[in-house]
Formats: sequence, structure tokens, C-alpha cells
Amino acid sequence: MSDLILELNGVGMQFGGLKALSNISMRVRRGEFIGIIGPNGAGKTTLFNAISGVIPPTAGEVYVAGKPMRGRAPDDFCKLGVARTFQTPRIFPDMTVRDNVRFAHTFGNGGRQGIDLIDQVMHAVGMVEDENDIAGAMPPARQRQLEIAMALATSPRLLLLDEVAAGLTEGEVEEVARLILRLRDDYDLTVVWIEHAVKTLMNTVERVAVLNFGELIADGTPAQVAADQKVIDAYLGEEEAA
Amino acid sequence: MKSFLPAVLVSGAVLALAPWLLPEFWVSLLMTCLMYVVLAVSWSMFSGATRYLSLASTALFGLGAYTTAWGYEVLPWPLLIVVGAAVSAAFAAVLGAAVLHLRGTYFAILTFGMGELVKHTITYIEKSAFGTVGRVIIDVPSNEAVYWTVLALALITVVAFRIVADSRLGLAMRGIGQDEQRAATFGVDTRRIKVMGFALSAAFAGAVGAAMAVRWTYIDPHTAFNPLIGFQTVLIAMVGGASTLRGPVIAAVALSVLSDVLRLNFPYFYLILLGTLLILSVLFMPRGIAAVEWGRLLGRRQAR
Repeated sequence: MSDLILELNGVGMQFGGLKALSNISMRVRRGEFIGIIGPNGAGKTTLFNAISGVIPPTAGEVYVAGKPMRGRAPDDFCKLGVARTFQTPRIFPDMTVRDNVRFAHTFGNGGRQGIDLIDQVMHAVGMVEDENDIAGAMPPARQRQLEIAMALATSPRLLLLDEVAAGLTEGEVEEVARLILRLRDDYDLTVVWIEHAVKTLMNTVERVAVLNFGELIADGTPAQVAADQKVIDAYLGEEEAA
Repeated sequence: MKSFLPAVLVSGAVLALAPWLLPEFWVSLLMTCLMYVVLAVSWSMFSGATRYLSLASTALFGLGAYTTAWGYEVLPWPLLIVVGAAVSAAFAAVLGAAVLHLRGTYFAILTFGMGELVKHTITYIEKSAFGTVGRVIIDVPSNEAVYWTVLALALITVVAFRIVADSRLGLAMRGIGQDEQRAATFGVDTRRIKVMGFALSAAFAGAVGAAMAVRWTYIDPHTAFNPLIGFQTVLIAMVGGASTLRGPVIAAVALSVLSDVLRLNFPYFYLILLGTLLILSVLFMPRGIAAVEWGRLLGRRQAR
């Protein structure tokens, strides 16, 4: 079996006249923990849409576990072990917390893991006491945690996290980072994490990819990326100047 | 589920006594109620969960009725009910595969249009191949037999609704109704689920059409494919609360009785009254009768 869980080959995404992504090539090995950073509108979420089947890329090819994914629907991505969260949480608002997790567990690969996985993942994100709450009535931060539990309930191999720590204080972001590290070990996951909290992200992940105007401008260890002149100009520079 | 099955069986047993206890007019009205229970509950099974608003009930019911009209001299009537269910399910599967990628108004209008297409196709076939406008069904079963059959169908539909709601199919359909793409990211083959759910719910409408056909003795496409049947079905389900089971059941009885009472007492403007009532109920009970918290409403009144 191939060591590569995800491979992007010249992936591009064109919306009318707007090039949201251009010529992205990237390889993700099993077990890696990758952070993705970039200014607003750099194409981070668009990249997630391309590698989870939500919006198929208009150019290039995506491979999941060695399989070409052109023309595949999101459920095929799920069955190959890709799970994601959304920047604006997309849970099933009228269902209870438990039914949301049960949903994710039923149709993905989670069903094969037995029913215990539902309780296990709810425990992992600390939602056991809320299991009968209506999901849509919870504050966004809790909905994000629920989305993590739902993603885990599909028994994924590759977990895509889109700003799960948005709107949190620095201390809370650190907590989320620790949670992700723990989940990664417990569930043997490959993680790709988009976050605007650059400092925490750089301290947590092993590898950072930087997007700017739809292009991949840097990809390396946090130290390499932080020293990269293009990254400083495009992104970190703004922060230092501020 | 524990108290559900006994409750269904007991109400079934009580309703089965009707032909001995009630005058014929009331039995006939009860049968109309039960017919709409089948139509509205089966409609909710798919459309209430997925929020795909189908106007195909007329076509599905009519296909069932025409199965009986065409097959009555060849096959026994109970078998025709099964065949009618299969015909409507097959039609819904084909129709669903073709149009279930559309949502909202587009889906509603297309399902309605397909129904009209079926009606005119059958009219054409009857005229050109058989040289007839309608068909006479002779030697029909007794009124009691039809009543008990429709009652049995209503009970089966109600139980099926509950079984589907608790199943994987039902869970998948609810997810599709709330966020279809999100459901897909959790591994739901949304296309397959939609076609399956649509075809399954169609089977009940076809069955009740095949059962009711013998009531009319004379069947032509305009009776069998009466668009009011489809509209009334949707209205009952919406007024009752399409995501619940008791909503459509209550509303099927209430609206059938109401429209009959109004029709008898105000023959000239009963449709106006009915329409006004429907507008009011949609305005003040947007999620249906079943969603109104009667207990709290009454409690608050008493507190004052």
C-alpha cells in the first residue's frame, strides 16, 4: 500500500474569470500533520473543497490513497477515509447532537467500527452531556467541536480541519491544538489544519503550506517557511509591520 | 415503538367495526379520510424528510387506479393492488432518476408536469388503441370489502412510515433534507437514497389508487388523475406537519371531514372557505398542527 494518502497534481480551480487555485501540486504522507496558512481569499477553503469532493477542481488531478478522484462524489471521498469540517459549521441543525454523530457514523466507514465509536468520539470532544441538545441551537464554537466529533465518527484516515479554532482566545486555541494532537495519536490520523492563529499553528504542526492568491508559495517545516522571503512578503510581513 | 404497534392495532380494530356501526355516508367519508391518510403519510415519508416537494401524488394514485381499470378482468383485485404499487414505484424510480437532481420549485413543477404527461398519454392510448374514453368496472367488491382494504393500507402505511423513519434510509433522507451536500460528505449516496425513498413512498399511493378504483365503477383519466388529489395530499401533509407522523394523520381526517361538510353546506363557495382556512393555518402554524405546543398554549391561557 502506498505511503501517500493524498496527492495533488497541478490542481486548479477557476470560477468564471477568477482563478481561485492555480497549479497546486502537493503530496501528503500517511501520519503527517500539516498546517495551511495564507491571507483571506488565498484559496485555503477552495483547496479543501477540491480534496473532499465538495467542488471538483477544474484542472489537474486529486488522488486519495492512490486513487484518481475525477468525477467522484463527496461520498466516495468519505468512503476512502477523507473527513472534513467547515469554516461555517455545517451540522444537521434540527437533529440532536447524538443523532448528528450517529448520522456521520452510520454512512461512513464508522459503521464497521461498532456503535462504541459514537460514545468514544463524543467523549473525546467533551460533548457527552450535550447529547440530547438540538445541534442548531448551540453556539458556533460548540458546533465546531461537534463537527470534529462527526468527522471522527466516519472513522477517517485524513482529517481536514477548516478554522476549527476561529473566534477563540489564544489560550483556547492552544487547547484546540492539544486536542487535535491527542486525536491524531488516538485515531492514527493524518491531519491538515487551516487556521488563522499562525503562532499556535506553527508551534503545533510538522509542516506548513502557504497559499497566496491561489498559488502555493511555500511548503516546508515551520522554521523553513518562517524564514522564506516570499512568505514574509505575502503574509507574515503584514503581521510584523502591524 | 413499544406503545406504537398496540396503538395502531387497537385503532385499526375499532375502525374496522365502522361498517356495522355507522350509516353508509359516514363509512364512505371515513374511507376518504383513510385514503388521504395513505397519500399524505406516504408523501411525508419522502417529501417531509428530504424536503423535496413532490406534486406527483396525482400521477402515482392515477397509475394505481388505471392498473385496476386495465387489469380488472384479468387479475384478482388484491393482486392488482400489489401490481399498482409496483407500477407507481417503478414510475417514480424512473421519474426520480431523471429529475431528482433538481430542487425546490423546479422539482415540484416537473413532478406535476410528468403527472399531466401520464394522464394525456393514457387518454391517447385509450382513444387510439381501444377507441374509448373511460372504462366501466363491473362486478365490484362490496363497500365493506373496499373499506377494510383501504383501512388495511392506511395501517400498513402508518407502520411503514415509522419503520422508515427509524431506518438508515430515513436517517439519510432527513440528512438530505437539512443539508444534502453535507450528508454526501458523510458517505451518503444521495442520488440512490433519493430514488429509493421516492419509489418506496410512491408504492403506497399506487396501492391506494388501485384499491379505490373499484369505488367509481366508471373510470376515465380526468377522474383518476384529478389534480385536486395531489394538491390536497400536499396541503394535508403541510397543514399537519410533514416531518411528523401524527400531523398528516390528524390533518387527513380534519381536512377530509371539513371539505365534505363545507361542500354539503356551502356548495358554491366551499373552496373559498377551504382556501382561506389553509392560508390562515399556513400563516399561523407554519410547521403544521403537530408542531403547535398545545399544552403550553393552554397552560399560558390558564395562567392568565
